Amino acid sequence: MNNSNDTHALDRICELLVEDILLATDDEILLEAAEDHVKLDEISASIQTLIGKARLNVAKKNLSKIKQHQGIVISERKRFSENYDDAHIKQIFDEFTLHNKGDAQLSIAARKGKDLTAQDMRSMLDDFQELGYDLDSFANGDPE
Amino acid sequence: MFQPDKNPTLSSEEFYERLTALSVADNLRIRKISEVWAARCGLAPDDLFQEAVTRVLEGRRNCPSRVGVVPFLAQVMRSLSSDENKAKDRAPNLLPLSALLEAGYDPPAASLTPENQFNAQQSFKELWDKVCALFHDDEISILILEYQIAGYEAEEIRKYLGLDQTAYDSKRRFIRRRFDRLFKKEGQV
Repeated sequence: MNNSNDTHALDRICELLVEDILLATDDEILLEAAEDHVKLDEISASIQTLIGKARLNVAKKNLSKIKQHQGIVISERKRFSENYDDAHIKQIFDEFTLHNKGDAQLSIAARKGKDLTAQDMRSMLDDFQELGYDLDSFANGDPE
Repeated sequence: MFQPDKNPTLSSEEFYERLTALSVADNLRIRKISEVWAARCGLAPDDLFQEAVTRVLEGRRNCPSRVGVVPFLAQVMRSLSSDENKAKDRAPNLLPLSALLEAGYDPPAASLTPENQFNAQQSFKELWDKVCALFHDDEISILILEYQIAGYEAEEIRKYLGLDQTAYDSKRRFIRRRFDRLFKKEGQV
């Protein structure tokens, strides 16, 4: 007997069996099931449950990826203030407070009226960034 | 100029919709096919099938739209089974190569590693003993399986054995049903 170099003998036998299953008509498959006393409802329910589980697993993985991505975005945005020197930070902060008086005043009030250091401004700008404010436009000198 | 995709594939959602609309017969086919490939690699049929579906829904395997979902999943399960077998680190049972050669066995290609070659020889010997026992009363079935293992296509096998299509189909079905009983009895090839 010649031996196929690239296909295992066991695989070749399984291929023959699978080919036969795929070529069988619906009637033949159902007849076999009757011969084997297979409960059709149970098989169908089992298969559909497994499909549902697979879909759920994929959805969970996708959600995990989204959360991970959002985490990366937030952590990158937190580094916003690190990209500018103190003078630039003060300029951005002044521009921002001018355009967002209400929110900025609340935050400044939370500091109990103390003079704001450059580090305070950095910290507040990072907080505003995390809250969803678009600070890039202020950094670029082009606030809406 | 717009060039239509020659091999469009189903989206995950389209594939899922087709899966949930399978007929009872197709659900049975999937169960049987998963049992075959699971018996081949030692995984549970449900685990193998669920992993195959997961791979497609994740987009790691793409089902061509012109291919049915059942034959496509059969191919994915075959691939997973093959991967599983490669990953296994089974300690082989020792058996002299000379015994296999005396039995008329052609060793696999030299491109295989010595370990893979040895394992292939072991598996083949064990398999062939089982096949001969299973079909001890049916020489045609053994010949069909010999040709199949040797890589011949169905048409060639029919021609060499002088079987018409109906006779060949009937014999192939007979072979599968005997293997069905073997799987149920032993759980693994």
